[in-house]
Amino acid sequence: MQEIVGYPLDNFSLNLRDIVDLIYFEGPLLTLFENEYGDSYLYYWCDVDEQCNRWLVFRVTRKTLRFYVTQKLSLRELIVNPVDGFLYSIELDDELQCQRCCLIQPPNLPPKYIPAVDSYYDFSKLDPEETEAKGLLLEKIWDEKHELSDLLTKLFDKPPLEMIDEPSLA
Amino acid sequence: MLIIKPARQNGRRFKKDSSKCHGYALSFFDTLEHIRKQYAELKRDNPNISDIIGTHIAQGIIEKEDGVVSQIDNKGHFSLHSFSDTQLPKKFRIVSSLD
Repeated sequence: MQEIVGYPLDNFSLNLRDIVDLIYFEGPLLTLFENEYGDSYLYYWCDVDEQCNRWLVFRVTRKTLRFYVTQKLSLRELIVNPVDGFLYSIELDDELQCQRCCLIQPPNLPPKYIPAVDSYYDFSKLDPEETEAKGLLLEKIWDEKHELSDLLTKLFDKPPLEMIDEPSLA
Repeated sequence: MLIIKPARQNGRRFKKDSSKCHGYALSFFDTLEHIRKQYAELKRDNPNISDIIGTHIAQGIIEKEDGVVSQIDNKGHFSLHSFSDTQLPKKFRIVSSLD
């Protein structure tokens, strides 16, 4: 396991429940979680040793999550610019017990924990066994106004007039 | 993956029974091209990925008596639930590094 520089915490106090694995290969690599208020968090696998897997946990807004899923932001950008300015590093053992937890600032992340510049998302990274995963994910990033804007932009190949505050011909 | 400890899990262990079943399968790709493509994709997201999936590619021929294979997906990946009396390690040899 890579050495990390962070602020040790006694425990990992966030109460999160898993929603969907965004990247899956023989197990989760990136998972969307949610707290009791509906705030979204990502668990990003980054390291392992004989006892534990290490995950980086960080909050994402619905907007940044949507931008990631729609390839406007890379995973690298999410990790090096977390909404809260820090990430949790947690080490989970085989029983999913957190054995070590600390706060890390992005400049202190080991290079091997930082995804590539072109680490963009696509739905083929979902677990093919989880047939409902794509629907769950879309539900979480759904925002009527933006979805409508995106749809209209695609249909007209440019933002519709009403959405760029220009007079309508209607 | 269920044989590997510690388990790479972060929440509910198995969302579906079929996932647990898949956890006992061995993972394969049908061509070298497919495995290299998958590795490149995984490494873009997780530069440390070789710590869990390994560093080299082994090649071999799976035969009917080795077990039950799944359908090959669109990335060339498939799973094998091997029979208890198979000698798979003897049928495979390392052919190259993943990097």
